[in-house]
Amino acid sequence: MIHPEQSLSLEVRKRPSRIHENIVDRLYLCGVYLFLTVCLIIVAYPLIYIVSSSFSSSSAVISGKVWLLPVEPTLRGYKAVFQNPQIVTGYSNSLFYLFFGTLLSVILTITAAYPLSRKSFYGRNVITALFIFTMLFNGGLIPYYLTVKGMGMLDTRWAMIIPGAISVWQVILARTFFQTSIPSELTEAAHLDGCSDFKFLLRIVIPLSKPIIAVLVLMYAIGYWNSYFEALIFLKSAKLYPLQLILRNILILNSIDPTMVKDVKELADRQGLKELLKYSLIIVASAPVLILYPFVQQHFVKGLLIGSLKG
Amino acid sequence: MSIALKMVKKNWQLYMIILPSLIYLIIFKYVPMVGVQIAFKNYVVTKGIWGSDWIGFKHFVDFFHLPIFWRVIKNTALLSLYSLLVGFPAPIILALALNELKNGIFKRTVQLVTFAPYFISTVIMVSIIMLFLSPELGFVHILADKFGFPAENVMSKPAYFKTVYVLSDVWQFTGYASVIYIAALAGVDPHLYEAAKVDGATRFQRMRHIDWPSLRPTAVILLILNAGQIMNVGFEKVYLMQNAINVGASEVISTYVYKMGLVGANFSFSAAVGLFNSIVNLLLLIVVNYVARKNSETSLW
Amino acid sequence: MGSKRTGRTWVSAVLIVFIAMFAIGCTSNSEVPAGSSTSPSGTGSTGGGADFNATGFPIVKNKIEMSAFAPQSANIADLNTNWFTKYLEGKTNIHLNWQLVPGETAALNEKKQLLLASGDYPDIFMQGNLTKEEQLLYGQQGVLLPLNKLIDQYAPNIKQAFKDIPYLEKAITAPDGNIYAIPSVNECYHCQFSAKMWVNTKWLQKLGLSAPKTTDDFYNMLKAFKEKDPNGNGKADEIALTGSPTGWHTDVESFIMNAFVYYNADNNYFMMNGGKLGTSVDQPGFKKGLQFLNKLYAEGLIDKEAFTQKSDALSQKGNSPDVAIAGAIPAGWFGEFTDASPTATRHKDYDPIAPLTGPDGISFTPHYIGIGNSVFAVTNKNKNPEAAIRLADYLYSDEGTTLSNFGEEGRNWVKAEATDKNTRGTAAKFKVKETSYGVGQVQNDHWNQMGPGLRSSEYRETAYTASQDIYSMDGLETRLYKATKELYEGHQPKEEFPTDIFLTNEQANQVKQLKPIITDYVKQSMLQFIMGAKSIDKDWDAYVKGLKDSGMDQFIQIYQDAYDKMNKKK
Repeated sequence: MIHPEQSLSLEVRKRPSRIHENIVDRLYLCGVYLFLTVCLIIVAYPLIYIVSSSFSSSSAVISGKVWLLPVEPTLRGYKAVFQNPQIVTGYSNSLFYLFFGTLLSVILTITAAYPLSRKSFYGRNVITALFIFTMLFNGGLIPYYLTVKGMGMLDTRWAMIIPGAISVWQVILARTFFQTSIPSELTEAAHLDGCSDFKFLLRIVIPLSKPIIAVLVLMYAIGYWNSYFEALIFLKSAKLYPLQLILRNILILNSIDPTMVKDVKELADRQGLKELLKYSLIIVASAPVLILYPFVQQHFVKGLLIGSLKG
Repeated sequence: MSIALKMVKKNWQLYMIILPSLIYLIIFKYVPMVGVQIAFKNYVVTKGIWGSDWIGFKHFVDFFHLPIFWRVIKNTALLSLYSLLVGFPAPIILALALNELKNGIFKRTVQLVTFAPYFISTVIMVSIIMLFLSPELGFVHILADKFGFPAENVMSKPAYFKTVYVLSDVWQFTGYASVIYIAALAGVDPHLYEAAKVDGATRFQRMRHIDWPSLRPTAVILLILNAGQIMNVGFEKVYLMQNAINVGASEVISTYVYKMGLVGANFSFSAAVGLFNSIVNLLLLIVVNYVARKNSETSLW
Repeated sequence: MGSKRTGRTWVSAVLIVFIAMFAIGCTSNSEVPAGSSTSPSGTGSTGGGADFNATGFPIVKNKIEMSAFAPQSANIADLNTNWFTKYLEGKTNIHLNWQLVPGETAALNEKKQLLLASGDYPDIFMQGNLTKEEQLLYGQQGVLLPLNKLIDQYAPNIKQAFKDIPYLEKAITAPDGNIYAIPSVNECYHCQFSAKMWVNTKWLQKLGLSAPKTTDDFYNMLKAFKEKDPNGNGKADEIALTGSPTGWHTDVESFIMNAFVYYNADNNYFMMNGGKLGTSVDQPGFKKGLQFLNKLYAEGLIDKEAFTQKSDALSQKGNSPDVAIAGAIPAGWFGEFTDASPTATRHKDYDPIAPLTGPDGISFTPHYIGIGNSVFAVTNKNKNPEAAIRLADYLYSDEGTTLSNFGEEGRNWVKAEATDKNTRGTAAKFKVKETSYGVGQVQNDHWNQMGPGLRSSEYRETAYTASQDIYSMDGLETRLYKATKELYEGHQPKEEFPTDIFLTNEQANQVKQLKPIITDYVKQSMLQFIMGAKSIDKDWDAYVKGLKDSGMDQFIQIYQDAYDKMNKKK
């Protein structure tokens, strides 16, 4: 780990007057606030547009009347989404896959990353290379499908959790975290005290790794929540479908090919709803994860390593 | 090899720990890799992977001989590089800025809000882009008008394609990408800041000497990983933003292969294209990793 | 660790892995489906067995199961418990095991490819969206069974359809003479002439103009729209002509270009003369058309965004609050550019106009005909292909089509009363009740147009009721029918190149390479000429040369060959 005190001491040790220091710092802080506020507005505005559109009437949406606040507020879009009986199934399935999938993924990722972060781990480079190789090359869709089929997982819940369990990207990130945040002195001290690798991992490393675990949980949770592709290729029964698949179906329901229409009234009625639905669907689909985020945020708090060096 | 055996015995617990993920890797990543041979075969369903005939490099040759092959490669590479150039520093800057604040409501709000666009589907994203850039109805032009710039149809200018693509990516993904850097910064010992303050360092200096070095390993690794994805420009967004006028600048490998209708029935050809992409990515990865290893303490291997 | 040792261990590790991979790969041969490859089974061989009824119902004496591929429609609650599924099972004694895939076309295609390629496909495809190329490819590989003999022996309704609809049989017969899949016939009359131009007739009235007949009239009309403030709000906010490249025939070029040369962008810009195939886009008429469009654009009569905006942006202009701002918009139906919900009124301001007559007296409209992709096919895994074809045949009957699309008599539809009229204005046969649809509503009574069926134009226009008030939403079908019949019918060229053409694999591959290049080149050049980036006078020759260089001649030759072959057979 880097020892910033050392690098600082090599720098010019300015000891400006207290007033000067405060002004420079204050300006910098002001600049930061300004920058972040601008970011906030730039990002927030289109989001507000989306939320407002989802609550506006379809005619307001198609005529471009919506700019900031909902126009002719209505819950029609949401009704159309929630009326669909498959929605409840979709939500519960997605929650299931999210929970168990994330659990499995985080465990597998940490158990892969930790040994790879230890310099003394024999064969470390080879195994790392094996992991990285899979990020670049894969056998293609058909062999993947056939493998899952061969494991008997087709059309089961396992297919949504196991085949995609490890993201090598995350393994590398976790490994980097372990490499930079678990000081070697700590490891050595533990070994001297007779602590086994298992115990060290469980009792010391993991409690210290809250930030990276939080990141892993978040990233994997999002991945499982958004999963569409695995459901598409591996599932056949509607009762196993996750939310994303069902939501997409609803969207298509309302964008009908006009040549296929037999009752044009149906087409006409759906025309406006389709526009409205686009926005309601985003809200419905992303709400749970956006709610999860603040809980995870708590763990991005500084200072978790205090006491480890001293203890 | 007795030294090797000794090392294995010493680390046996670590091997046990890593075993489940290795098993996963072999079953779900390496076993399917056998199927990559269809890139060298003429795959027929009823003959299966093993029964289909070998045709060597024919698919690759066909691919290279496609009329607009070079243009497509160039567009793909340029788009990726441009994305990397602009999109790589953005989350770092955001994380560093956020790190200056205490954990108040403003900080948490900014984090949440910048994170949210990640969930917008590509289709909506593109329609928002087009809405905002519209010469008549668009927000951007109303602003530009006030400053005296003429209303232009940005989407009809091939030269702007890559810029619009990259900037909208930055808008959508920076918040999400900054999470890993925020987490890395969370691992910094606050005593270091105390010590630095005592030494008279300004915020900017503290950022330069404490925050940035803590982020650097993660940043370097991510840079290397991104280098290994250069040929993988996604299909959906480019396809939606493409139109007849900008197609010269916007045709990338994925959209061209899609338009050729080769995504479906011609698996062998798609496999060959995929393999080609992977090899280029691998070469880039090796080069960037080598450079990183020579110039910093961090590298992928 | 010394680098030599690392190197050695690296190599041995990799070797071990690769050997293991091949070993595992060699042993698992699960991908080859049983009884496939060479001879496709069941081409009407055993006659179906003792259990099978060649005529009458049920189709088999003892219940059999058949796995069927179908999209999961969001509108259907559950195909397994669906009324029509159960009715069908009761009638035919065939139990359908649905293999459902997501309804979105791209997802459906991807799943279908995957199932076919991995050998994991079901007994029949009920709604498989099978392209001609897929039919040929999988037919020749033995995955899809040839249906000719089966149709001949057991499918009287399908045979009758071949007689009634002259282009049908040829359109679905592959070059090797086999029929591998059956389509769902849906002859939408107004769709065939869907390059319609909708004009704001309220504005015409206000300005005292009549519907334009020639290109000059059209030009004058657009100018008046732009300059004379027809929406009366004192602002010069009128957009004379707008469109979008992504909607249903909402592109600006098609309608107008057909006053100079026959122009059909959906059919590769082909035009036919004396059995010889050519292209519209290098003709002198095409050049004149571009000059006209360029003039319109240069004078600000065409919306600057018309060539880039997506349909939702187009809709926003058509739905402008308070007053209309769009004068003329091309579209298959007005829902492409304006609100079509029951309470909408803006659409009443717009009416279609007849195809324009150009300076050389040309007045075409593109004719969009074709069967498209087929839906029903029988695979080589099916143990009862005769029963399968009889099932499809039932769906082609009047009763089958009606029940499958509309549901149960009494509950979903009733027999029409004496005064009920259909689209043509003559007596209708039945009347659909509202219970089948409601926005976002899910029903479980019928299959909602899924699967094979025979909805010929005869059926569509005479069987069920349609309101005669053309400006109401109920009368939409009538409105489109009338406009098509009165204004557009007759403007199609005498000779047309068919859209349902089978290509051999070799030809298909070449087409795959050439088509995107040619299409992109033509589209881009057209826009450059229209928008003035290139000069029509100076750069025309270079454009024609560029067309040759993109492989246009080769492209035409391929289709000419396929056409000649198709016509020689019969």
